[in-house]
Amino acid sequence: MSRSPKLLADRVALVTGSTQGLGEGIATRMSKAGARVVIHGRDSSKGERVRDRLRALGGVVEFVAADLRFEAQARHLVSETVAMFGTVDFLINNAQIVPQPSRAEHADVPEHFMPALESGLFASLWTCQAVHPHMRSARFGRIVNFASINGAFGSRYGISYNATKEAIRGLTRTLANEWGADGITVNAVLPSGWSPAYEAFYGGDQKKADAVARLNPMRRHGRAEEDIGAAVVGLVGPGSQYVTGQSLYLDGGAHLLGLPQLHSMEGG
Amino acid sequence: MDEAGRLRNRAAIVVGADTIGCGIAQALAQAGASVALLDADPDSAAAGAQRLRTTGQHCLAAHFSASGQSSLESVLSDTASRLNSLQILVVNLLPKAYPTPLVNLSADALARSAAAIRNSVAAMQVALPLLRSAGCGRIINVGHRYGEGINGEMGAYNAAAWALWGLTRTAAVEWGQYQITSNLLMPFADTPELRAAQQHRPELMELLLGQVPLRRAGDPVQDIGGAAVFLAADEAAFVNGEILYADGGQHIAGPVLNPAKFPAVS
Repeated sequence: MSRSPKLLADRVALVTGSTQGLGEGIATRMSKAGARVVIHGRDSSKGERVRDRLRALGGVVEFVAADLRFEAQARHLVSETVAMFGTVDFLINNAQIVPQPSRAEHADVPEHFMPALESGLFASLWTCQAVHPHMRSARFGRIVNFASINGAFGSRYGISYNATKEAIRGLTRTLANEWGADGITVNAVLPSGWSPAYEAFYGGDQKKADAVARLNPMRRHGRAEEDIGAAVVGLVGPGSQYVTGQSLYLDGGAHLLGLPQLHSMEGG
Repeated sequence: MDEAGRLRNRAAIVVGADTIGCGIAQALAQAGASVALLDADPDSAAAGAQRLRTTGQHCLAAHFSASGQSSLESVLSDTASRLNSLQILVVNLLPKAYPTPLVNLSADALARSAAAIRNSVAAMQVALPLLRSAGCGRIINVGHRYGEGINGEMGAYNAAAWALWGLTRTAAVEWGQYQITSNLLMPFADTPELRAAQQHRPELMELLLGQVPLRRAGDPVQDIGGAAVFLAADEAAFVNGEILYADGGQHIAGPVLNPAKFPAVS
């Protein structure tokens, strides 16, 4: 039986922050869908493990280490991708440092805001700027940035993270308006899926995790690969070429019910 | 995860066989689904299904009327049994927009909107048990950017457009537990109405299209249908209760053409 080409066949994807969690799920799904994938993270041993796992599944995968708080490293990540695979078709800006929770009145710019902004907002800007000439000359590009339901609702004690995530949505819409004529779509997703960060949020409290799953209209948590990764594949894949500037929740509809304010500060 | 077979072994019913409904039906069929097109007008449904058969997929057409033996409920239920199963329901029933200031909005115009909403609900209700037993059902309601983007002089249309969004959210919350997703697809498409406007006001239309980030009106099959395929496919299993804009980014830019201000095409 003849098989038609895979959804992302021959495309090149750069997935930032993909050595674990949702980023790893996204990279996995993109690789399975036929894309050549660059895994990125700060930790080489974790990155090489993901790379080797995807290679064992038949993927064409490389790993590049970079600390995206620094512009030169963000730009280098893109140029390495292009050096290895010739171009970059999909830029998935998933990387984000999540600062320690802080009350708004104590939030500190150097301690909380700068790491969040540098690793999220600025890194997204730098990687977008670096891929732009390649995507423009190909007249094809798909960029997916990462926002959060926590930003959209303003969950307590997350002021630096939330402000960063909402700033990324402003960045996304501006790029969509400016770069649409170059054949580049720019969208944001607001994912909710099981990951180490998610697990840490529940702190081993399975009852709390189960209760939140029951609150979801689909009565379950999102899965990194099958839900979040798949949706990113759908957004960059054939059929979605006319979708740009969009914010898309990947949360089973949880946002329709609001966001329970479950975040807590240690010591109350 | 190959491209052509994304919807292989799925059956879809598209209610409302205008340009957008036919475009969506065509894209679903090209992705491997069997498709039935339903419309109140027998000719629209039949002509749409005729074009669909060129995809080589199993395609049906049927028409419904306001009540009785051929009510939407019975026709949809009958069509679903002819398809053997149902995974995807596309509801594309919003009324045409006629220019009327709110102060003159008639009970008749509102009744037409109410009938469209009533039929939308009926389609969703009849489809529910079938979508539920499919285990991965998809409801795709089709809105239009008019409802959000124009507002003025379109009271009856807007009442229906916003009602449809409310219903989409209700279905998303109530039926998500069956792994049925319900979303609103918001297209900006290259329709006969748009072409007519281009003929009458080319400069204005050029200005309008220049504002759209992707600089063009969406192709009903490739662009609008393509987005519907995304919502219908495995990729969107956890996308629920959302508006998906298949609008080239118009929702972040605008403005929207008011079809009510241009002569209708006959």
